[in-house]
Amino acid sequence: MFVLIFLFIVEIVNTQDFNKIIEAFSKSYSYETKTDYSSAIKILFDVYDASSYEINLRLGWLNYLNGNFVESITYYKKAISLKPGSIEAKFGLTLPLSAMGNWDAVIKQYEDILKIDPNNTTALYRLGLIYYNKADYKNSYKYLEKLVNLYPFNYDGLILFAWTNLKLGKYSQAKLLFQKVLLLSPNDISAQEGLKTIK
Amino acid sequence: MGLSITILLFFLYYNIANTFSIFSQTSFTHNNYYYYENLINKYFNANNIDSLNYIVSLAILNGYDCYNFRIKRAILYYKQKYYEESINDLKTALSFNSNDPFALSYLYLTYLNLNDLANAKLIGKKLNKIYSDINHLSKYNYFNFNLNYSTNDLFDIKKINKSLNKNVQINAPEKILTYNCYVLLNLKKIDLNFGINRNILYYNNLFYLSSSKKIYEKKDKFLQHTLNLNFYYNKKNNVFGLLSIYDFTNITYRTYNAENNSVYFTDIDFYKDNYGIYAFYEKIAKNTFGFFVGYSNVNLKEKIAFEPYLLLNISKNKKFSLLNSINFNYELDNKIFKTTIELAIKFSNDNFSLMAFAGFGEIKDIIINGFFLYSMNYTIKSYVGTQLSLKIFKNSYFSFKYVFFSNIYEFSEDNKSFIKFVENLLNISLLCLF
Repeated sequence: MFVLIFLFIVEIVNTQDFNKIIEAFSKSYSYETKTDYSSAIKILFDVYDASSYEINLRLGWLNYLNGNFVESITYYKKAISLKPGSIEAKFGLTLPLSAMGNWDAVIKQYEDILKIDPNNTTALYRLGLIYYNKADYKNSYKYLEKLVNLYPFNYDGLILFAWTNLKLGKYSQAKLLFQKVLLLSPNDISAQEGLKTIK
Repeated sequence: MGLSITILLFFLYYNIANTFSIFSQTSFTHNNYYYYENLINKYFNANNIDSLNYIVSLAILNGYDCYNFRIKRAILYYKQKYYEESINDLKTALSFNSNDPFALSYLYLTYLNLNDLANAKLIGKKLNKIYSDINHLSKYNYFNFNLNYSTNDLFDIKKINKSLNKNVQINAPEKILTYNCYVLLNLKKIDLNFGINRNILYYNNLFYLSSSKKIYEKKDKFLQHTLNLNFYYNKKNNVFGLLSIYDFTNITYRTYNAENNSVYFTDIDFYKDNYGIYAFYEKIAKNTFGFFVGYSNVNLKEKIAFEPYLLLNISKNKKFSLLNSINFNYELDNKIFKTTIELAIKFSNDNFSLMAFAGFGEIKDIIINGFFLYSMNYTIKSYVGTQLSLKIFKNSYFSFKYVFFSNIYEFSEDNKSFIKFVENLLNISLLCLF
């Protein structure tokens, strides 16, 4: 009997806590919409539970929006440690890292995502883009080739892959890819510029 | 009194809280990334190294140790000649963004300013590779197998007496048929070329081996040394001998300018040929020292490439020549086939030459080339050829080429006698990139 009463009380407390958390989340969305990120963070911190993946993830995002990149990284890392298989937290972590220019750490996160989900097109595209911007066209090619095989008629992948081919001196392949981009976007300036360069 | 204690306690709490980042968890007014970034940009633009240093240090203490801040401080340190401090920040910046050409460039320059050539060389090596990639000049390793078969009436020489305008047949042995086979292995730093050239009718075997080693010195600068050895073996008479050695050293300084797609060259060449295979090459071989400066806008394919250069040649016989050249390339793509026209005009104190090249083709990898060269001094040369290239595997190409050469060489000192020969060449080649 005593045990049942105890469980009942625990249940009530839990429900009350959960309601508080829902309310805090709800308010944090309102504050976020108003770009009052500090209040959005504060309201969530009132119900902060270090073992909650959801709260840590949300605090990671809000701190990122607020420019608190160090805190953002801390919360995203906590979220990752709570759910190591989560790729959304890893994607989140790339945001403050890339804003600070720490590209090696960003690359590591995307590579970790690809270990979990090898055909993740966002990670493939972004890795291709990072390596392209680092002028490491061989690595860029590796990821973009896979992306374009998965999505042969997607603008972002095609145009970047076309430029990567051009940079690698693979002019005939680049030409073909630029032409495909023009099928998607007939007046595309970037594709036209690429074709002009090849001529 | 009580109020004073309260205020004191509040400040004490605030400081402790701040020290242990309690506020940073919740706070809103805490200095965020953008706060530091704004101040850093402000002091960076004002060249205020003391304030910049203070803010970057503060940012780092608050956990914002990142590429963006380190690189700014490193550059300002460099500008103000605090090289040791700059190195520290550049290394940290590179730990966040490895192989970043921007940070590497500053690190390279910093080492140079500190006269630390060993480290500058290491960084230069890295940069050289990165810049090569940026300029799309990264080179594949490749293996190239070639089989040539040629008919040559080189010894069916017609001496042309210019003044009499009459052909005179001189020592005209039978035509020669040769085949040669060679393998070229091109690795990142060394080229190895070995092969055999066999004269079918005379049973002469010519073995040759050449190696070219590239020694990268600094950014954009490299030294290349080529040593070529040729041996022959005459089966009929059982004679083995050394035919020709040439030794070629070249120091090149190149500046690749990715922004405006141009390349500037400065080459210093030393060329030594101990024995010319053909007598008429002697004039231009032997010892030659050359200094070459040039410019090219063909880094990216342009419609018209303009490549002027200046060459200063000092040869063993104290012949001095200054060679100016202007090259134009024009490519026309009318969707049916691509036409390439190249015109080069070269002139020096004792020579004038005109070179024209036209290439038609790339209709399904069929290439037709024509070439004409006129030189006031020693040669008139032309060839026409066709080439068919097929991709057989990934990164492997098979090509078949036929070329017809026609050559007239000046032969005597009085500019009145010439020799003329024609040559047919068939080439089968397999190229594998790896």
